[in-house]
Amino acid sequence: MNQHSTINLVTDYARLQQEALEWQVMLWSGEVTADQQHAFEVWLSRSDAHQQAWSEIEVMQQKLQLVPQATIGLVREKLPSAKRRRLLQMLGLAAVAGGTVPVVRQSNTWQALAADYRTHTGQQEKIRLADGSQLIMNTSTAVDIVYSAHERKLVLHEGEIYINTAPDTTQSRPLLVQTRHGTATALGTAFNVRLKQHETRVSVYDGAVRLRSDNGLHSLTIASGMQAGLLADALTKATRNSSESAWLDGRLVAEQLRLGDFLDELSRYRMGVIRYDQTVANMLVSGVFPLMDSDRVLQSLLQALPLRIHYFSKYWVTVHAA
Amino acid sequence: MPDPGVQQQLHHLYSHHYGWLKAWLRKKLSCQHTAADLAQDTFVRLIIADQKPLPEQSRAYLTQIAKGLMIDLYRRQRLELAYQEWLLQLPPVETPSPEQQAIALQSLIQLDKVLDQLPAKVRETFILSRFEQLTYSQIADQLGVSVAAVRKYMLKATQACMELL
Repeated sequence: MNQHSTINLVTDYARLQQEALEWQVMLWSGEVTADQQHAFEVWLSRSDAHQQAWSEIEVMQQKLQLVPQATIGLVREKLPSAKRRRLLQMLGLAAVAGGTVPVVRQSNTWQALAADYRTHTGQQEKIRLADGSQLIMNTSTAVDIVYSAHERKLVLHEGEIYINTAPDTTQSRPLLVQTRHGTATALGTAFNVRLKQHETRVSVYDGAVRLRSDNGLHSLTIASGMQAGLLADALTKATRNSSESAWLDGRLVAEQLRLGDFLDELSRYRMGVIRYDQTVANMLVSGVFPLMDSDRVLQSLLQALPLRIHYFSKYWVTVHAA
Repeated sequence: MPDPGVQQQLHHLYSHHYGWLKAWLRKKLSCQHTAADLAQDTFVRLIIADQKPLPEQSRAYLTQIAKGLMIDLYRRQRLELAYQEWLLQLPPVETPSPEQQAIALQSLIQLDKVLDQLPAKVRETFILSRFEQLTYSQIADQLGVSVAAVRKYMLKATQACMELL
């Protein structure tokens, strides 16, 4: 492709973006006629590029819809904005201020919202799958179930699941769990899969599981009692299981765990945020705690460690050194 | 990579004023951790900014940035609290997941910034349309402008949302 036509493509797309914007403004009027609606649909169906431009608008629109009306009163209040604007101009920062990384693209969040099965914070759920396999979902988990003629696939978008597989008597299709880091294929098995930011951790309790990194270059079979981490382009060494499955009994087990890691773990089961100072992050915690009663866990920490816990609201907790 | 001169200047600013700035912020904020964070952020802003202050204006310049960051923080905290309050009133089954909450809160904070940069009428128009479900004719009546003007304001606000939200 020569340079000239590339430039044309770019400017053409910018024009489509502008058109999409104008359509959105028209559709928001609350007074759309059938003709206008039809004209929009014709526009949208013209090409993939039209649809692409429109999908950008939709992403923005979806974000807007997440903003509760109840909070708009504050936005309306024009606090010290003139002052801030002057300041931003002075620093040439207006663009930077709005240039934070969009949250949406960092994770599979949108897929997660649309997943087949999901649990909310602090919720766990047992599901019996069509083939008799048992799926237990931990807190904040989203899974798609994709059974086809040649495989039984679970797509884990976020969170943690435990699977007790039933043999596929009729078709002997493999059962596998897919995450953004790769796949774990069951070889007659009970196993736990937890999707974390940088890896997918697979712990095996019965039988064995074959791991394959997303780029297809690395694979490893781990046996019962062992675990390993699956990365998009690598695998970690297999190590012995510790207490990864304690959540199935509603327990959080800490053995000389850093307080920072402990609080991160606890906050998975708790609405809102738990923040902590770096000065307390390295204190060590040991014990067995009830997962579903995080308030009690926080209170018991106060007795064991020199801490101060501050509640801005029930959903916003900070932990400081005493 | 900044050129060595600039880097040296930043190093000088940091080593001479960081401690002072943190102490100044701490007096204002009464929380040493937030003060340390904001002092850090102030220097980050300074590094991003093209202009660097003259030596005799360093502290005035740094406090100016820090004040802006305090305002942002204050505003962000109020938005965050308003959002948390709203969550509290929801029946548990309707409570969004942490990810949804994070996106919603981020969107709220960004929307606040977007609207903050727009003229009053544009901002009001956008809020009336998107959050109070008024039609363009109703907005035109309420604000005493033409429907064409409402459309123009909406274009401007939507454009800003596309760029920043």
